[in-house]
Amino acid sequence: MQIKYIRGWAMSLAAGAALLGLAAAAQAQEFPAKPVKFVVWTAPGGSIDVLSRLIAEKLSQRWKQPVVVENKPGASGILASEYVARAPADGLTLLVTINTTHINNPVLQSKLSYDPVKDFEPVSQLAIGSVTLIAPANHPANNVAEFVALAKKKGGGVNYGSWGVGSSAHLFGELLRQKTGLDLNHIAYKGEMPAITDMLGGRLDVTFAGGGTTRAQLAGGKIKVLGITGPRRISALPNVATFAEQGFPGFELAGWVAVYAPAKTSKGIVRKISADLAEVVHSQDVQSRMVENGFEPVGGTPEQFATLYRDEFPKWAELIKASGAKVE
Amino acid sequence: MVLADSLALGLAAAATPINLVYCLTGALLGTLIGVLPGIGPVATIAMLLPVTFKLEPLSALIMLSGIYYGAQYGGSTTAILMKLPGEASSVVTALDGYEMARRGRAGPALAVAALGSFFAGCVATLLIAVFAVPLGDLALRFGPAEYFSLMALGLVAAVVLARGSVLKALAMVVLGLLLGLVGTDVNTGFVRYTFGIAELSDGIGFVVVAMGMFGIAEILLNLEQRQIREQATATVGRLWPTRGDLRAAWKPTLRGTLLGSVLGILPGGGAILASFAAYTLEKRLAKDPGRFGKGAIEGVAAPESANNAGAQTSFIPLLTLGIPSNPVMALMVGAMTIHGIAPGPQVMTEQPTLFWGLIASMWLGNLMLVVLNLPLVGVWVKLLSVPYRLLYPAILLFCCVGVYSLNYNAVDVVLTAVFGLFGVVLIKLGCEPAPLVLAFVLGPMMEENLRRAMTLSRGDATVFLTSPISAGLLVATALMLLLIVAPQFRRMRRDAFAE
Amino acid sequence: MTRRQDVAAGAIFVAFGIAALGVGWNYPTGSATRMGPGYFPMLLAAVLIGFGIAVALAGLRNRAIPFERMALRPAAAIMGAALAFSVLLPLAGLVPASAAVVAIGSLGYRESRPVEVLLSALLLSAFNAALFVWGLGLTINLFW
Repeated sequence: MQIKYIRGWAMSLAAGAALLGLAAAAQAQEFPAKPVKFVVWTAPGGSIDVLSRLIAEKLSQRWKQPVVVENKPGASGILASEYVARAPADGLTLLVTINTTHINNPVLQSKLSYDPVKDFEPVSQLAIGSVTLIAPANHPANNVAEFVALAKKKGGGVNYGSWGVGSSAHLFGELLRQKTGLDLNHIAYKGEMPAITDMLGGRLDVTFAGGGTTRAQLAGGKIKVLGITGPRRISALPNVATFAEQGFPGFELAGWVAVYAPAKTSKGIVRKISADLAEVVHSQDVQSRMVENGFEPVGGTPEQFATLYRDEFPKWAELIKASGAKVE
Repeated sequence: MVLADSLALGLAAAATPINLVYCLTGALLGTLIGVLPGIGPVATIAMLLPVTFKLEPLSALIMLSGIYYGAQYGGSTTAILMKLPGEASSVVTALDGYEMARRGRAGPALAVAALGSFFAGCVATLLIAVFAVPLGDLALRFGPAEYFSLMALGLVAAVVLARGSVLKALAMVVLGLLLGLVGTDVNTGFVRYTFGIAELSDGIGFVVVAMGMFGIAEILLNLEQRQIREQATATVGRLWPTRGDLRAAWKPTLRGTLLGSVLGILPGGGAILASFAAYTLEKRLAKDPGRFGKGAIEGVAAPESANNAGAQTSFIPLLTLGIPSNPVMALMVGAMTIHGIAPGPQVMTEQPTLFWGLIASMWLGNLMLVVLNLPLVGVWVKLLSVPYRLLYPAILLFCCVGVYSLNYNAVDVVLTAVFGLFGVVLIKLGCEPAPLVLAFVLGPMMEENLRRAMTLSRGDATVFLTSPISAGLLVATALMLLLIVAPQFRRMRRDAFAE
Repeated sequence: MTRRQDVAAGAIFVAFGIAALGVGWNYPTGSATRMGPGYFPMLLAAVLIGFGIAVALAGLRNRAIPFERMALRPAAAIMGAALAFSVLLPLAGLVPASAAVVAIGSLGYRESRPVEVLLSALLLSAFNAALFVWGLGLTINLFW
């Protein structure tokens, strides 16, 4: 009797759970029932913005629902992150972002209006993007080691450009300064292009640039690449050796592009979005366009991304601390 | 002869029926978003980027650039009719263009703006075709020191924008500079004057300030006047410019085109200065500068041709160096890389059809725009005969949506209204907002470049004088300041003697 | 003392200068060679105060030009319309927010006619929806 009773309960519980599971699956199946919004915090036309639009276009074909990109620029992505953190957890509002909002901001800023972990559900890491160190085509050095040796021999300072205080370009520049003891003078710009312009005009010795920009500028023949940061070489620039290969360890971190949903979004929906994103990212034309823009396509599961985030966070924090970069 | 062949190649590529359709679509869409306050070519091109993935690269670029210069034509329309400059480049057009409209000369103002833009577009396109490569090098010669000196010249020119007291104009310039500092400092990442409002951390938007101090302030002033006496909406008057108008406008158009073409090449904000510089030049050259700000046709012709010329030549750094000179050009880079084209000098040699096709399409697009815009003049002018009580809520609504659409940010809408009220207060106190608005645009760039130049030179201030370009610009700045201040001093001394 | 235009203008400039000085007092100024984020603001604030005083003094010396008072009704209506828009848009969507702007904005003009206002509020909010959301593809909710 007793046992039967319990078993009855257990069975109905199981049935209920199965039903719930079915419902969740169904919900995920028909997701999205309404238009989906990609919130991007770079200005229209930035490489992340263009990438988001490319992926949004492919997703809307799959989902038969419009996927629109909404630019919410400002405050290093704080506005956009906060906006998505507070959005309904229905998977219809997603944040497309880079490591800045979920690693750099929490490390650099004492109070943040969102919690990078508690307020979000990681969905997918779309791609990683490495940063290159470039010099004018007529620069005597051909790699990082030669550059460092030349600069030491020449004496005096070396001016390098980055796209902002606390940007990964700035972090790597400061790290290089500390590792080599060179007198590196940091000059911040509003983007990589103004810095490249000043380098081509002879006012900067070297500057950092994203992989896609470097590839495009290489085609123009006005620059040369000294080295690339990140764990390994990238498909866009297969001949460029990493800092580590050249005997400069510590530059292995690579920035990433990822998608987040608001916390408490149902697992089924997160899994569905993540799977569809992975398929889009691995489709032939998206992949080739990503590579041309300097990205290495990833497109993994939510769990893989969460694990990577946990692994990388302390390393980035260490890099940021080591660089001495501060945001007041 | 090589040039003629190249142009023929380009024309053949651009004049295919399908590309003509894309050119027209771009130009039309550009005109529409130019007319609407707030929403600009950057947002529109970004939204259309995915559509262009499926197009041929040349068609895509033709349509996107059509949006860009179409917006330059459209932008002058609301500046003239409603004193609503949607872009930095049409702020100056609003000064005399709107005054012309109030005096029943909206038609001639619009027509001269369209014709001037067309002429400037043709000349600038030819410049790109012939001198793109040598002109591209000019972009590289401008570093932080040169930009600082250029901005300094621009600020002194800002004083000339206003009528009346030089002292007040100077104070407005400084106030504009201060307002421009709100937000994150590029050189250090330090956040200034945001009062903890995250929405302000990237600074106050230009459209917010310009739309508030010009458009909204004008609505407020009009409403006040109408409380006292009901007056008809601006008389419509004749549609077309008289022979006298054209005679007065052709030289300013020519000078504006030249200035705009040169300044448009500079990636660090030269294009913003183009229309201001052209206006200032005309006011300085005029026999009776007093007419400026009261509906002088030169004050429309010069800045309009300058901004369109600048819009065209801003393609030069992109095409010859792969350097985008403004956000729109950055989007063009995005469109090119999506199609697997690396922008830069190699495009001309490796993809001549694309390069010359784009250039030819600019000329075709300008032709379409002038053909389109001249008949529209009549339609726009009709708009002014709508009773003001119905017209102004509509303008207000378009401003609200336009400002909101910039960053999807409601704070901006309220801020625009605040600047509107502030603008009215200043106008009532005899302080014209134009110098403030220009200083607001130039200020952050000026500080950024000053500090960058000092960091680059490691604290050696002589960089501003050792660079010939910078030194030349600073001498011009000093001379101009002297020209403005000297008459004031003379007057003060005369007053002192009289007492 | 009558309402002198220049004295009031000068006072506004001085007030802005003092406010800028006060708020930015703790910003690091650095040195002339390596300027901090506070260098430029402090310099500008000081110059603005100087200009403000000069404008006011000139106003006291010259013939007094009185200034008009600001009419409250239009100012309140425009401000109200902007506030209503920014509050209603996220809560209620574009169509109600647009209608509110037209309705509240129209209050700024004494001779607005209620029927006309109602009609134009309806027409304009529909037109706005069509133009911005369907035509230009902005991502704004039409209704809540």
